[in-house]
Amino acid sequence: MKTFKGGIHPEDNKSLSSGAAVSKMPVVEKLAVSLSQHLGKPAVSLVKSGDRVELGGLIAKADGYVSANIHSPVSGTVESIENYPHPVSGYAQAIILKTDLSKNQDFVYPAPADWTKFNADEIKKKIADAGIVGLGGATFPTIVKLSPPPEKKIDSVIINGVECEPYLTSDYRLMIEHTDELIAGAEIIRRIMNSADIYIGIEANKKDAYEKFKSKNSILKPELLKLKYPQGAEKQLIDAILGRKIPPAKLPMDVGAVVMNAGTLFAVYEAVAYNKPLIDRVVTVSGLGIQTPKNLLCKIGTLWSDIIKHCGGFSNNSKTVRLLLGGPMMGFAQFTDSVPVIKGCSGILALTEEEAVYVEEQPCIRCGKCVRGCPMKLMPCELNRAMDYNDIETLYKLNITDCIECGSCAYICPANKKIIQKIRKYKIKVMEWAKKNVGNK
Amino acid sequence: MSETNKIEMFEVSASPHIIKTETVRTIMRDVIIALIPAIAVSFAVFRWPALYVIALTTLFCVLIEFVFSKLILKKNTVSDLSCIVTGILLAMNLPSNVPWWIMLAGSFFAIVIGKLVFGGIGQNPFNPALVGRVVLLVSWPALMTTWPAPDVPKNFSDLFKNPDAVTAATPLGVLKAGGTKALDENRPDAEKTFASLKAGYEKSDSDKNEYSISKKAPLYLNLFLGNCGGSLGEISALALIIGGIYLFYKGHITFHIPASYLTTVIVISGIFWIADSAKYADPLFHILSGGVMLGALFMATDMTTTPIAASGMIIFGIGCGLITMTIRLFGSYPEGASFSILIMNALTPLIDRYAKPKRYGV
Repeated sequence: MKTFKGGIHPEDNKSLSSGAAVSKMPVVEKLAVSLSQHLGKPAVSLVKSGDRVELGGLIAKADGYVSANIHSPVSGTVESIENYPHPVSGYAQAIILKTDLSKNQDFVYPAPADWTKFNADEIKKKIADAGIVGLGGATFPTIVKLSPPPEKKIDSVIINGVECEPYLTSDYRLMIEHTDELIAGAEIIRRIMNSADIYIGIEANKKDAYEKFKSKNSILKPELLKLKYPQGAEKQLIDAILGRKIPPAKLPMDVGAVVMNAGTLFAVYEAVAYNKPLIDRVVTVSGLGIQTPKNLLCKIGTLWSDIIKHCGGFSNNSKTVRLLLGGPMMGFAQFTDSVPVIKGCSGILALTEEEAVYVEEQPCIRCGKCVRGCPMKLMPCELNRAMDYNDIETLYKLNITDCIECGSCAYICPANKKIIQKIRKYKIKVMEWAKKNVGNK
Repeated sequence: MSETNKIEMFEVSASPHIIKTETVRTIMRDVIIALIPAIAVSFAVFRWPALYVIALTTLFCVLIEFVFSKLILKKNTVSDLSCIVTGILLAMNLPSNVPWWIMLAGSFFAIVIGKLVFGGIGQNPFNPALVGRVVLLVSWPALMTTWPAPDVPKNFSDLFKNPDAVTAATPLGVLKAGGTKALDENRPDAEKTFASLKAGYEKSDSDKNEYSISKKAPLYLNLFLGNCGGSLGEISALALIIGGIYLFYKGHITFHIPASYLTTVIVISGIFWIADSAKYADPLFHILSGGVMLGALFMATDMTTTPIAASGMIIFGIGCGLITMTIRLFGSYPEGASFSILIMNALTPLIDRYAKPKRYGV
């Protein structure tokens, strides 16, 4: 089995929700569709309060190249546009919608289009119009990723079905429930990526998904990978499957590769085959704090409080102390459950005291586990010491800016050093320092 | 914000939100577990005095840590269990017949001078147990080099009797004093040392001058199992290897240092043995005897005092092997494992400075 060097083995805890087939989250009356659901500039609202909106209609337009369209997940009226709790940035402008519950709120699938007749530009236009962004969590606009500059020759596209974050099972459910659609999506991608090889990386704890793709014997080649975190990180996934290492400050396209999440691929298929904009996504609702963990197809903008209520509410057995967007390794902690689902919301996790423990730091014993665990070959323990001394120059020399912020070091540290938490803060300081003190090397 | 009044509040913190349930304390606990086979062998071979030395030394270390961590660090650091590990490892380096004040002095130097004065766990440049041992060795050499003869019980009830107060040299001591001939000729010292191998030996009497591994099989078996004179913990290679495998399985040690250390010992002793097998002992003898195995698996793998990067660990292990063999072959001490590890401890910051993982993607 292929893999990358370094990494850690957290308990995957996927069995809480991996058996639950994707079900539909019932439509609720109030939705908050954020204008900041992607990396880049927030979209510009095309509606104002009191306007009627139609299911699937464009309600906010991409502002510039690195931005994305946003469509209405329901038919109803715009209540207001206001600053609303946002699961990543605290607060952000959002369009508050009131659903017209008397109307059909399910997307009506037309007969699939014969996309084999579309040329690359037509396909790209559909992807851009549908407002598709990376659904793994990074939310980078997909169309930008799929349009590398002509001098970069892309020979491999990797579909990320790794889902290395513990608890999350949304991609897994997609892979086993929509195998054919994902393969069709791969064929669509192949049309616009000049017949590149297309792989899908799947970890050993999802062997049934791997077998399923293997039995289809399609252009979407499954690769079984050893179970290890952070294999779903772009650099590590390319390393694991293609054996190519992306040099510092370079991008996947510099080694001829593009990485795309399995959920994103599914959205691409639906956009091209059915003209369906990105108005819903599969969300794993899990953690010991959730009464009935589920994989739900949620409309973008649905409030978490409604979703948690639909999953039986918070468990009475133990208190939920942390509510997360995404997985426990890189997810964002929420102070409230009245945040909406955004495009990058792969999971809603309610972690209890037993799961999310806080432990005081102890002295570093130089055990080197962080060094062996670091997928970027950094020395987190040395970084930690330099950060304690505020030694910016040493941090620069230790290549702190190579850090992909996977958190393996903080996870594995027996002294419970909050290494990655400090690195995030110091990376910014070091970049500012380097701008002033280091020439263009 | 109509819902403000019914907002449920949760803890907010930066990711990762889960951590491995492993702490310094659990690592130390695992090291203690890994030492159990060696403790058991020391009891089987030296009986109650062995357990007495281990228990008392550990107790001294805990008490000294308790008192001096309060004095020096202003906090109680007993609970991380590292003082127990130091205590057991120090006892492993003592003969079973040392007086109590030797244990007390060794514990003091190990805990206070070896660790606490530098700022406690994680800050010490030298392996604390070895600091204690070497201070004792150079201060009271006679007491530290008089080893009781091994006395493996013939039956179960023997196990609870005290052993004879007979002393014997260590295999390396015999080698240093009389060369391979001494080992070959089964002189009285060696006879005590390898109590039960006589029968196996006499069969090969016809060809005494030739030093061959096959004829020494009983000797090696005794060295491997621990039926020989020496410090409590160093006698049985088997027990130490079992403990080492446990630590490896738990992820607390890597193969780099033990492998490079033992390989260097094998290569150097092999070169000399091939050049003159009548004068020098063979590689197998060298890795099975003395403190090399204890050193390679438990001392040279101490996290705090050894390099962090893989390449640095290999340099460290090679250095230990070179120094150990230099002392064994040319020094006046029969054994050099402790000195070699301490010297390499001193070089660790320097090694760490140059041996770093290669930058990703360059």
